[in-house]
Amino acid sequence: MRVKLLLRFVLVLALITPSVVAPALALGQMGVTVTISPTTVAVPVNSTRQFTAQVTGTANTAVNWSVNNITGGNATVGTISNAGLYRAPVVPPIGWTVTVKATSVASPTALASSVVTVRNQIPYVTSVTPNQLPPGAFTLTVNGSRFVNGAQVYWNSTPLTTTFVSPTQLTAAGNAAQLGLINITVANPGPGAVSTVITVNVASSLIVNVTPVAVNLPTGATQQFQATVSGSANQAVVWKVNGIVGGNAVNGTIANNGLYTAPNLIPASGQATVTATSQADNLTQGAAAVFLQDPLLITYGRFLDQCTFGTTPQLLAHVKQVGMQAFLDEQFALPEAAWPPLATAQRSDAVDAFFLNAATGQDQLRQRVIFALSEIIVISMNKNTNGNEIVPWLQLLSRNAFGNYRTLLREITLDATMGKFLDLANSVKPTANGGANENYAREVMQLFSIGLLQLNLDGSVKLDGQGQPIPTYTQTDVRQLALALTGWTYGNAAGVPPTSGNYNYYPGPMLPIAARHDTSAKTVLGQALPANQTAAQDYSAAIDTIFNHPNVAPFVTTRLIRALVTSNPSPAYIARVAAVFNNNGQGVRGDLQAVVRAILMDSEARNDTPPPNFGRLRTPVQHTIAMMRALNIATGQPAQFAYIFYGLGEGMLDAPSVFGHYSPSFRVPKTTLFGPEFQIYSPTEAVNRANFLYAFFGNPWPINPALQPYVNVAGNAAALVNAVDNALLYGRMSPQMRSTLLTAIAAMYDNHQRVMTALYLTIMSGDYLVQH
Amino acid sequence: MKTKQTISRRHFLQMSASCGVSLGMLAALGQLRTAQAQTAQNYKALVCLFLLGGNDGHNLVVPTSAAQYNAYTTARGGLALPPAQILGISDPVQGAFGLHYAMPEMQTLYQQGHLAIVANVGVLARPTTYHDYQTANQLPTNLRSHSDQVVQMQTGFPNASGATGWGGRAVDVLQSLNTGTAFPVSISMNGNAQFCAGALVQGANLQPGNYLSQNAMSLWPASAGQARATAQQQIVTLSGSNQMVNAANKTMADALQLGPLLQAAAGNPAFTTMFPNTAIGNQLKEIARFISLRSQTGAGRQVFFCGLGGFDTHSGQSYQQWFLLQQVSQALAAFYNATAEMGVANQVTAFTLSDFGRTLQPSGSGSDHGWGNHHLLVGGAVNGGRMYGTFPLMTNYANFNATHEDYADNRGTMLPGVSLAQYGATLAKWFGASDAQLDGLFPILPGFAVRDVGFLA
Repeated sequence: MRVKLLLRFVLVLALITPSVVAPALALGQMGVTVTISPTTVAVPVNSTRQFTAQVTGTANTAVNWSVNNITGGNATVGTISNAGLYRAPVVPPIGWTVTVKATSVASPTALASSVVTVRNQIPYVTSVTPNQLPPGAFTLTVNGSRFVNGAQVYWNSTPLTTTFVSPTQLTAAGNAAQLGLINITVANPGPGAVSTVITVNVASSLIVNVTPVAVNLPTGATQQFQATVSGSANQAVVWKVNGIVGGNAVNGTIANNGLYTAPNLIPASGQATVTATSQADNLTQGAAAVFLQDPLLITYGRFLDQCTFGTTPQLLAHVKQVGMQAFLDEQFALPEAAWPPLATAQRSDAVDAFFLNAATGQDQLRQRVIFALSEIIVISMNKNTNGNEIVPWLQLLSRNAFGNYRTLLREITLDATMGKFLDLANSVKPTANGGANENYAREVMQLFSIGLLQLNLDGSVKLDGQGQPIPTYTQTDVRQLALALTGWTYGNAAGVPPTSGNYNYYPGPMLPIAARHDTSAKTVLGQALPANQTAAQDYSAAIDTIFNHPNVAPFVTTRLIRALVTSNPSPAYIARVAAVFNNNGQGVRGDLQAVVRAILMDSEARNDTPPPNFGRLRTPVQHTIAMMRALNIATGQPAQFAYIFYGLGEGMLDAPSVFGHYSPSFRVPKTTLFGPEFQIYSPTEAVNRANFLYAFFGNPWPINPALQPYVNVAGNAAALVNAVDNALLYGRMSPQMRSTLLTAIAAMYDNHQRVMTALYLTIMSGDYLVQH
Repeated sequence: MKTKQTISRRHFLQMSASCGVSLGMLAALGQLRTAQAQTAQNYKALVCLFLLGGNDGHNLVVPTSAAQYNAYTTARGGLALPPAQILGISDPVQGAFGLHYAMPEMQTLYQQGHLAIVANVGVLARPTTYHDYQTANQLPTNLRSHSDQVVQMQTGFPNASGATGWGGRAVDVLQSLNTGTAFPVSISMNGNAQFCAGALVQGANLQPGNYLSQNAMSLWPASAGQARATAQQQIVTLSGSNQMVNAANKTMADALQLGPLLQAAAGNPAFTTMFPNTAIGNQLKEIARFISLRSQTGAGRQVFFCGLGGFDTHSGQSYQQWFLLQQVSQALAAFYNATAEMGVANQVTAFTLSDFGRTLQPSGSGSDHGWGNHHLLVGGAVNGGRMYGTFPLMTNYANFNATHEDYADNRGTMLPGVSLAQYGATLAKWFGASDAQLDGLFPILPGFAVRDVGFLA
């Protein structure tokens, strides 16, 4: 105990010892110190400043005041009273500074000093005449007060030849070699005596007009500009690009006759400025804006719209560099984005992952296919209420997105999440009290594989001899398939074959219970399943029968084309892709990777001047993410705004029913066009969507920092519209829309509102809403 | 013999107007006077409440006579409601029944004569017998398929095609009564509903309390907001070459037209009746509010669509159906009370539709997709406290055949006794459609002898 106490005492000493050292003050005998305040200060001529001195270490706190060691000072260096009141001299001292010192009376070696800058008074400028002048030689008269002989007039930061007329007037001469507003200031001699700014305007009586005033140009293209000089007989001009006579390879070149040639690579700014300077004064110029566009922007923008959740400048550059096929190869080879851990996943985790992987995952194509599959093979949080059943489902779709459709059908059939959603879990053979559950048996055929009506390879409906459609299956087929799929229950962590129905368990597939399986002979879609097969045998044979039905290829590929490329594919397009579904070229049926590639690389998808019925409406989630990616808006935690998507018709992972958020056969109202996503784009949903997306622009107030690049160019309305056009519409904005935007932008009171106007009107325009 | 035992479903379907007095005809004759009287009044509304997923009608209305109830419990097993969960009602002709215990408000309305039940309604292409079903003779397409049956119920066409709904068509034919309004006359409160789409009238999808205001247009100074709005109006009415782009623009253009109408009509409702704060309660409350605005909007005939999902009870039915029917009962009762408070109860008729009925026989804790189903009608003009259509005899379930054709199959799928066309035509006739117009609304109607089921006065 004692030792510890002693130790503590030593430590305390060690801690307090350094505080004894106190620098920055003067030590006199026996510890007398003097401090002065202020220690540095500037005092205008003939003005006063109070100093104070503190003396410690003695009872006698009196000090003697001196200036430059002259007790009490004098008229040259300024005076100081016994109370420390300093008065600066009327004329600044040589060198502009003096030293004020306080010396302890009790201990004269204890003293402290302060450096005082004595400066001239700050001049006032009340007017400059003329305040409007033509280029060339000039003499200005500067009126004001407190001017001191030697005062200097500045032209921006350049000193002019100045004449001191009186304390209230100066004259200054020079040569105006540039147009525009010039800052005039007056500086009295010495430090710290500069007036505030007054401006004069150098303006030419000439005007140079350049036409066209703004132009969009593809790289390498040429544009003839014309210049007219009004106010002079001399029409000669000098052409420059970005201030360089004749331009250069970076920003484009311009010939003496005004013929501009765009550079082969788009410069970082995306634009160039062409000017024509009048040779009459070599100053007056007219300007035109050139917005440089990549002619391939449309090509790659369209491609990325179809195979990702939206373009980014980086992705556009990358695809342009490697090419589309190689990009697809890369995407097929990328590892899957991560999903939340099963054990702890909440609903919000599942929603976050679904949205964030789509928005930011590197495996963009896989995410896009997952999204497509999630609208074809639907589960829903309205029944699958827990995160731990949604996550394995997302993993299943992710794992199989580029796999084989047969595997996908087999896995979804035994998947526990689907087992719960469509009631195959614990569906048992018929008893006196009930039949086999028909829910999954019906939907797997109607929605996930073959559909209701027999189809030709090109997706058209097959007709019988009476011209009537032919159903793919009957209620008997549903019943028989339901029987074939009886006997499955939830799995368990140990993988132990169950003997009775298990409680919900989602990490693994469902497992069979032999006693619950109907062992009668069945016939499904014309395929006999003999009696006494096991649950696994019946399942396997039944799913293979479905998978091998000729409808699967046109049925599934039509849905995938609608989800990725266009709502109204031509029959020939469907037939080409369906043929790949049936045979990937190596005899394999159902190869989704081959199907996805065929969809994306088909000539109909790649036609950059598509027919009028081409394209598909972006869903709310796709619209939101595409905008975020194009504008580099951060996503945050999607679970915080996920509820809003319900009002947009697309509650994520929470479709109202097994039919998803919209019907694949929905037609655009009052037209014959298919437009599935239009089912969730009514006027109400349109306004809801608009309000939701608009909120991103002003968050945080007053403008999302991601939009700063647009704010930076917003002073030039044409440049702003061009930037928005390039980022969102790939340069396809129509002249009418461009002119409408320019008018609206002109009515805004600041650059923030200009940006929001251009972006809002564009993202809610049909041209952006429809991926085309 | 006009007893419940002898009026088979087939008779109901095939009986002609001249072959005697049926249940339906009795009521149809009686309603003539009142129907004429009501045409003098200027406003009527039809309100469709769609029970999405296929409500299990077998537990909506339960027969309580001893033999039928015994057959019911035998067939339904675990799904059967015990007597304590059945709210007794009776029909003067067909006898004792009960409503699901989630619906005491509906029991009250039935007893007050404001609610009627129509038994065993379904989509038919023509009068259809057991033999027709067994031989697949001219049946509606894709029976038991949700998507198809929802479309058929809403379009009134027994095949899954047709771009217009019978609600929209009903307002189409009565367009002369709506010439004074620019306000939507066909409104869905539950997303896109084919029911509301007419050939002339475009259905409007609205949400309770949402009057289509764009936040982006609230901008300082007002001239800036106006400039933005003007630009949007111009952009969405540009006619480009791409039809999909034009269609997307058209939707926003419609919103720009609709928004000011809704905003002008916004305000407190003209009634004090409290509605339950449920999704369906809020939908019906907003419908009541639109009805309260009839003199301001100048609408003469309006159809409304609202919906509640979750009725596809393949499992966990007992709780789920109670949970949903309770919401339906409370919301419908509030709606009726609000119309009564506004003095328009006789001018507003609400009715249910659903994808299809379900199997009597359960599978696990739920039931599977069926066909015929029981439906409810609520309103002052409803000849309530009655059951229309013939209630299938549960005792025939185990012995379904061409003689006892209550059921179509061995799982207790009801073979519909009243076609959707008859059900809809009865509503549309009350709404004001002429005989010729009814044939246009439901092209298959002439195939049925009974054109008016009789539940409206």
